Amino acid sequence: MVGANEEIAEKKLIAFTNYLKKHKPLAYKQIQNILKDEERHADYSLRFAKNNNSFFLYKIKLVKEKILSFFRHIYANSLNKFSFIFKPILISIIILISFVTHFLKLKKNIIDDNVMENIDPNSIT
Amino acid sequence: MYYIGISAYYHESSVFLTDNKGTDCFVKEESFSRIKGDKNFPQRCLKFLIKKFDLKNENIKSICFYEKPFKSWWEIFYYSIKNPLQNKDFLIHHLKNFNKGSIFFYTDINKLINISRNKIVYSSHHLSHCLYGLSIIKNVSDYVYITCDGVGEGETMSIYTINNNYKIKKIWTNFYPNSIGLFYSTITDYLGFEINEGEFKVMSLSSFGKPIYEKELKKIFDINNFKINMDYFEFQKNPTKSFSKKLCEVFGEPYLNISEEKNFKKYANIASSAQLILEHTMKNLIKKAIDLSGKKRILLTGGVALNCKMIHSLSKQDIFEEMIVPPSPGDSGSAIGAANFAFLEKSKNRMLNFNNIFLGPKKNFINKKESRDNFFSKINLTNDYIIDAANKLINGEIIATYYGSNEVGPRSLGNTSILCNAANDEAVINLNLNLKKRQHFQPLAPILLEEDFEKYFSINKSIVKNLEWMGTLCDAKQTLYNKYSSIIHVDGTCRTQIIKDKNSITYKILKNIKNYGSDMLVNTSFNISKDPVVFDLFDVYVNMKRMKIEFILMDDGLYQTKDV
Repeated sequence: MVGANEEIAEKKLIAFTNYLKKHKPLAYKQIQNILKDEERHADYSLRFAKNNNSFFLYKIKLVKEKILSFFRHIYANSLNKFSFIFKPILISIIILISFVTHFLKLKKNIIDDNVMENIDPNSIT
Repeated sequence: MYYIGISAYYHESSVFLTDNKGTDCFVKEESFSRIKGDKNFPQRCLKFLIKKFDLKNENIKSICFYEKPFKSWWEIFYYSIKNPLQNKDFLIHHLKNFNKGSIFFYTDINKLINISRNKIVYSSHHLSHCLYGLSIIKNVSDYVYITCDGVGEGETMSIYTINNNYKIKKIWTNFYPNSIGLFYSTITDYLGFEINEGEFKVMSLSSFGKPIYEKELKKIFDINNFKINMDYFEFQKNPTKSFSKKLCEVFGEPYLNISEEKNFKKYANIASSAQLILEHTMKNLIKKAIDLSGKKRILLTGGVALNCKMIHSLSKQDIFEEMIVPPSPGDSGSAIGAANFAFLEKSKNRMLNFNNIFLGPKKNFINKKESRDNFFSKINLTNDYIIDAANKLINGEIIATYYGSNEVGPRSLGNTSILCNAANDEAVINLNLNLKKRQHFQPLAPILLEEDFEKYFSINKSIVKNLEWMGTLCDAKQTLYNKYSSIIHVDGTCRTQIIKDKNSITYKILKNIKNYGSDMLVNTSFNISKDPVVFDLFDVYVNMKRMKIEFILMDDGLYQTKDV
């Protein structure tokens, strides 16, 4: 069910290409070609889903994907607002960590005489 | 009992399952998610394997992750946090990704299979690369094992040896940020190609230029001591750009439009110079490995080993007796290395060893017969479908292939490919530029029978083994120019594949086209540029429709797409 997400993305891209049409006609032409190809991709994906699901299951899945895509796009568009709140907090954490990292150097071996014996298979470090 | 190796979270997630009794299955996450180079936890791969092999705690001997998760995350963080304010963007990005990374591998896997903690083991990044290499050769103690990639657990280059009792010795290591892989990736980024995807484009582009920037680049990467000059790089502080202003002061503005001739020439020269630096560095690394180990047979793994132009150039230096680069030397192949680690860890003195390079699932294992009948109609009801396919190829038709088992590495080796007649210039150009949408400077690769190789090509004997999986380039002879000029790269080389297996359908097609006076086909992977290679019949159908390919050769016949 990739079709639903691509449909939303397509709308955004069309708005963007309309802007490009005036300022960068070459880029506009190239994006039109990509768009045509993507349209075919979305079209075949949806047709495949239609053929492989019952009518109701197809409709349910399509609606679910459209809702998910809608929220995905809202989230993507609000990332800047999120970072405005969280960035100062993260910078403070980083500065705090930097004071103790000096003591947290992991062991590094340039040579190892028996790799399989010296490795702890259950350890993540 | 199954051994499972997993490579994930960084680049091209993949899973390999084996029972060491003939059941092997290698799958990539990108095949299911349809995102090229998908690096997420391979949950779709695992769901597929759980369903197909009925995986549960009782029939799994061990699951091995290909690296030490915390070490891998920490080593890069540790380097950048020495200057916290200067590198804050990178550090924030790195911290934010903490919960998406491999540290939560056990939690991620437990969501899919309820597995005991003692069955989960962790290999080491470069060791996994090395163990994958070990699984494809016989006399393991004859070789010295070199791993060279961007970075893995803080290591960038490693040299290993192994004795007949499978005692593995690490004899030298180089550490982050001194990485020739990251140097090459940065040039890739500067030229406007995607990191981890565009390196092969830089390699192709390099043949069009002259290494006029060699002197400048030698100041940036010390080829003798394997040291990087960080003034020219930003990968330690910027998550979206890897080169600094200082690099732009040397080479000028980045991301130029290479369709303009002036820019193309300049970028080709930069690519050529970077390629030369890579080749000199690897030559020195190999010399170091030979000096330290006393062995002149090399097994090279890691992402850098995918540079087949480098393998070809190195073979001309006569510094080694033999060099083997496995079919999938990058991170995705490390899943096989991880499974080998799990096997060696349990058995102590035995290792996995494969005679076959097609370790992926069989096509009829992936698909149901009904889905094939929904989308394709068989156009040949007799047994001579191979003759029919050969006939179509000779007449300029482009045919997709979808048979046998899937390939392991990034290159399609005939079983999941698109083929056309190499002598038909029009078909070759149409396939390359219109169907595959590749750049004009990337030539397509020829495929031919082993016995015909010497008629058209020459190669140093030390790297001949790699021709079975397109692991190296070879030189074109005059006979090739006379008949198949469209597949020759501007520098007179070709990324040729030879076919040895007489039972394979690819062999039979190549044998058949000889009846029509041709002995070579063009073989390219079955995907559109920037899409993953097709996996199931749905991908096959959609991609054929997108590329307007009508015919497909499957295990039991020649098929045509239906209109649905």
